[in-house]
Amino acid sequence: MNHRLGIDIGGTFTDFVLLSESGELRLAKVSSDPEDLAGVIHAGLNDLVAQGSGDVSALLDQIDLIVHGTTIATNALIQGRLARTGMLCTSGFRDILELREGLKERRYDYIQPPPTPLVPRHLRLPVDERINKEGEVLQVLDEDQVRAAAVTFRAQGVEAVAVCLLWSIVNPVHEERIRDILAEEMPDVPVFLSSVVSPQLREYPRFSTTALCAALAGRLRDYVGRLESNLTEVGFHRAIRYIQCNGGTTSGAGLRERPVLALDSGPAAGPAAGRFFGRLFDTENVITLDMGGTSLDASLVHQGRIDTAKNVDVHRYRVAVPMVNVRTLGAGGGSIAWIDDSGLLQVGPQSAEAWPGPACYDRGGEAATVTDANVALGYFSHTELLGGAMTIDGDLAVAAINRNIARPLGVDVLEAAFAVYTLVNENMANAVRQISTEQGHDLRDFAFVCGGGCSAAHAAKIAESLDVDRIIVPRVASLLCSFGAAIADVRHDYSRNHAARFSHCDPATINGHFEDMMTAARADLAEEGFAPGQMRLQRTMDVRYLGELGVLTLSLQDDENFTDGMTATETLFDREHERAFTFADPDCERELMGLGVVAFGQRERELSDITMPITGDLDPDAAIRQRRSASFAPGQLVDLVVYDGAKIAFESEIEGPAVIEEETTTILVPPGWCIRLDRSHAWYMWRS
Amino acid sequence: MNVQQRVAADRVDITTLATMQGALTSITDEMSQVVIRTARSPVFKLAKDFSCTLCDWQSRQMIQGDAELPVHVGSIPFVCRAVAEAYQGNIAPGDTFLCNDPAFGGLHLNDVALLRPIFVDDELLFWAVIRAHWLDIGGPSPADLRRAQSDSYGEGIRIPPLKVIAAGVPCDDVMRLYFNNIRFPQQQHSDMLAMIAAGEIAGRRLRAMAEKYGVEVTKAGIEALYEMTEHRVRTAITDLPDGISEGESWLSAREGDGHMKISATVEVSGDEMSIKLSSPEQLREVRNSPFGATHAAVGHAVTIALGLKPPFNDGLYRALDIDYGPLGTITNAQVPPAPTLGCTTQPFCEIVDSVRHALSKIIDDERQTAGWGPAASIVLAGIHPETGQFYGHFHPNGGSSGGGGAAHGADGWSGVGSENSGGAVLKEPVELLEYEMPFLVSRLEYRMDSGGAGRWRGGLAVDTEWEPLDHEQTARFHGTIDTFPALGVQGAKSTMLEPKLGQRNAIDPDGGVRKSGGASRLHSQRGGRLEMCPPGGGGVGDAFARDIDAVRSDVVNGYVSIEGAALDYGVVVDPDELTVDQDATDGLRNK
Repeated sequence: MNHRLGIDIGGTFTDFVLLSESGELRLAKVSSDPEDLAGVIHAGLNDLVAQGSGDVSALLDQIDLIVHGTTIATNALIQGRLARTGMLCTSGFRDILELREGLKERRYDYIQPPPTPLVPRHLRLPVDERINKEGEVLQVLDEDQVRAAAVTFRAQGVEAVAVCLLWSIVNPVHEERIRDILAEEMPDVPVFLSSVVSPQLREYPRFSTTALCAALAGRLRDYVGRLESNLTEVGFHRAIRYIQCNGGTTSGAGLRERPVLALDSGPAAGPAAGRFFGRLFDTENVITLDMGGTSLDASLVHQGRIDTAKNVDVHRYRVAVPMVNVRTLGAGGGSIAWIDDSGLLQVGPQSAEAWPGPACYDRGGEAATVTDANVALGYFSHTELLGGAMTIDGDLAVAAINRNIARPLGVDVLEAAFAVYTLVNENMANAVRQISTEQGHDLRDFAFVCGGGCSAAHAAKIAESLDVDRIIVPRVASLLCSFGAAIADVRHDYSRNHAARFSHCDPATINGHFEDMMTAARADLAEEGFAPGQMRLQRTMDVRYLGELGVLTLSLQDDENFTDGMTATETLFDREHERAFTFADPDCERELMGLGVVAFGQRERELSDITMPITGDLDPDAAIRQRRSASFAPGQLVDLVVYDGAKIAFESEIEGPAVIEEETTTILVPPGWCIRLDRSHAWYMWRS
Repeated sequence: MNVQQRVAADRVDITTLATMQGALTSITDEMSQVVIRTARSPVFKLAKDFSCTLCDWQSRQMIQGDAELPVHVGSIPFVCRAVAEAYQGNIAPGDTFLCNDPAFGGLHLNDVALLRPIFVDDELLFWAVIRAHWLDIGGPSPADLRRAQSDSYGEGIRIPPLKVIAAGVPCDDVMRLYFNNIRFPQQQHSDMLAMIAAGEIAGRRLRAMAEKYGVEVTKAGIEALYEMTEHRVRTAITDLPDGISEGESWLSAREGDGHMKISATVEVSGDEMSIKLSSPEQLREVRNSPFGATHAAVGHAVTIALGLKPPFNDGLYRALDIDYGPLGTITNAQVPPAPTLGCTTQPFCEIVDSVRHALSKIIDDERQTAGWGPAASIVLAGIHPETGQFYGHFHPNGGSSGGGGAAHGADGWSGVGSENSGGAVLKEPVELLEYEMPFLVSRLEYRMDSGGAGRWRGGLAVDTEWEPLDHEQTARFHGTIDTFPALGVQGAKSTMLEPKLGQRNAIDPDGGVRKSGGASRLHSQRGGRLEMCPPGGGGVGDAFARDIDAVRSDVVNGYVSIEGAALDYGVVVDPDELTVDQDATDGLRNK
């Protein structure tokens, strides 16, 4: 008993991470097949069984929790495979969803169309009603119009309905009445209320989130049902949880209630893994870099808290619930280097994908990719990748760089390869800046944690660009999100719309809201089996200077109860504002814009160590695989020592320039860096 | 030898060049984020009526990004140069300057540029420039946007290049004079802090860049980036046939029919293009364009017609020879005395359209774009019933927005206009607006049939109604929007014209509607409403060639009426079944 299993289904691979209570780790990676979920699960379980003893049912007997991350919702959104959705709107405001606050993203692009509205206009039906900001009913709901709309929806085959009324966050009476009427008129159709899904001021983000819930509902319900019955069929009868966009886990029922939470499930588990490895090396501040074949996902943990953001656009659709602040950039091993029409080198966002892949894969790929640059520079082997599991042709990499970059720009191939490598690193550094320095964080306090197959070859150079000098590369790097799923806490977010200037704030009202939310949180966590000692509740407050658009979400001290009014909160806000934006404006009145509680259900005992079947026992010198020359500056070649990572004993130290080849990742240790293998099966790299 | 090879010979390697360009883009993005999140007046934060940019040691623009307002960024270098010259030898780290004077490259007075010099090793290497629409700039009525003024003195404070912070210490005397003369000083002070913060961020990043590459390499890299953009522009111009073409557009008269023609003569010769404007004598009302605004308008029209993609910099304008017309005409207004309040909207869009019209005769079909129609800003003002104080709320582009123009191959975007901001300016969220302001938004939705007809349809306009709570409200605006529809190209023509045009109305409690016509203000009675209906975007191509399914889908979704489908598109749709009557359609289309 007491094992946890993380399953992360991505586009290409499905990752399995089995974790015992003592930290013993088994990994499996199998090909994804969206048509055959059961087959994929079977293959993964069998792979895990093969690494131990017994059979599948014995393995399942040991597991008391499966946590699942899935791209199902994200893919459905990208591919437009959404439910036929209807919307009921305050009359006069049916176009809020389509208007997107009037945003057109690109000033000089007259061809790119706006995103297809989640609900087409003819299914966005107005109903007469109006509530004002005080919550007073200015116009009573016309119930006949609601019933007439239901008739239209039925005739049009609508599969889910979003109810999006102005000021429903202050007074939900009309939204709730509509829900009741629809329950009579079309009982089988799921209905989502904006006042429930995302109770916050500002209609477009709220309506968009509600429409997303409706549009994703059917697909998610089917998927959760299918997964859970598959697991039941193989003999698993215990708890199943899902990674949500906020980085925590929830139940299938939780996802069905707010399907939008399933967006980014998968990548959202990265920071939980990053935080875990950071703590093993005594830091609460980490940036997780997850770089695969096509893209980089960067996310941040500050003081042990996973950074989340609200009102983010996911594939151009606005999401108003807290999401892990993952910055995604089209920069991966397969990203294509090209020259733009002014003659400037560019890398990505186009990718050679898994097929045909980089030129050196010898599958007919003509384009020069980041991986080809790594090969040409000598960082990757000329003949094989993945510790020998994959044969490549380095000459093709050199030829592709030469043909596509070096010759057109009139430089030699090493300089061209170095330019590609450096440019993709700088692009990634800029992406990291957006989630760190641009939010007021000082990167010197942070460590990188590498995930995905590609980031360990780039992390040191990104770090140099950002003044970061510690990098952690876990052996589980290429399955980082799956590992994150296995260790993630349960997380639920509760929020209340409550807006008032600080001078008008009533401590009793605020405390009352918090108490209500915390009571609900404790009840939800208790229902999921958490004892009071395993619950951690964090109260938050959205605050701004009077009239600002942005709010800062403050995390309140546990003992703050506003007995001294808002003084302490004022100080906290000023400090955070100065950190984030370079200035505070203490003369300006502050304004409360919303209250929240984040509730975590934590495991009984913190995991403190990792053990894996790989046990190297050699001195580094005995694990040298190869020596080759590599370039770390245009026109210069230096000797590089290549080590077989799996054979090296714990605590061995190696100085750069060096390369550590592991089965699933290649770690580049540039000149000026050192690396050592920690007992936790993570490589630790630092600047010497 | 291509540009980059020449550059490489100058010892700026290709890596440095590419990373430098990435850094400049990332820095302006970061500046914008700071402003948008910390500014306090609605026009800044909700509407995003501001732009961030960077200039070099010779006041040349290093980056003109995708997020900025075309009208803002196109004329920044003139302002930067004016400040650098006025304070030559007297510029120190920590200084901050303001300038809004149209005589120095300014636009309308509300668009104030804030400039921060950035020093590296005691050398003035860069400028961070943030230009934003300030809520109030003095003048006779709050948050003004009127056209009653007959000269520039009545428009508010005209700020020549002016130091307001010296080496980090605010020049209190200057600040007092300024804040003593504007409304809402507290909000505006906060807005200024937000702009300074953006400059501070830019300084940190640019200094780091210069230290990383060294000053000499940095300068050489910037020069190289200019050359590369210039090369790109010249290549695109070379692809056009040599010759002269003429275009025109009309600025509508307030009343009567004395409309004013703005003409553009474009001459292409090899890799150079000259654009010559002519227009009537400058007006004794606010629709005059000082050279900075005209420069930005011409640059924008050329950029779109040539299909150039950002980022841009100083190199964009090197192949262009722009003649604004004689000083003292509408497109080269002399300030003083000309009032210029309208310049960022009317005649900005009209100047763009005159150049667009000329260029449409020489560019490929695939690059054709339609006009976005006349811009329609509006200010709502009144006395707050609870506080008893003035309030003013400025809606760029009319608060509800016009339709974007179509392009060859794409319908126009709805509700994003006008073209001076190109979709950068956002619509204020209804709930946030009602939370902060003493009025209700009583309607905000697309206007049926407002998109210009064409094979590719123009974007729809969004109508908005406001209802003041327990007080009377005044709406102020300038220019007219009810005379000329947005420019259609490649044979695009609307038969059902009326809904394509804009209008502004007061709706009285008894249901009576008062149209503004050529007036510059409307007053709403207690219990009444004000209504803003901006123009729709122009179409591209023959409307009778529009895909029939696309027309039907427009009808199903209420973008086009059944009547409009027949009149504008020659498509007959059954009103009950919403199916297409093919025979009747053929009959109309083949007539």
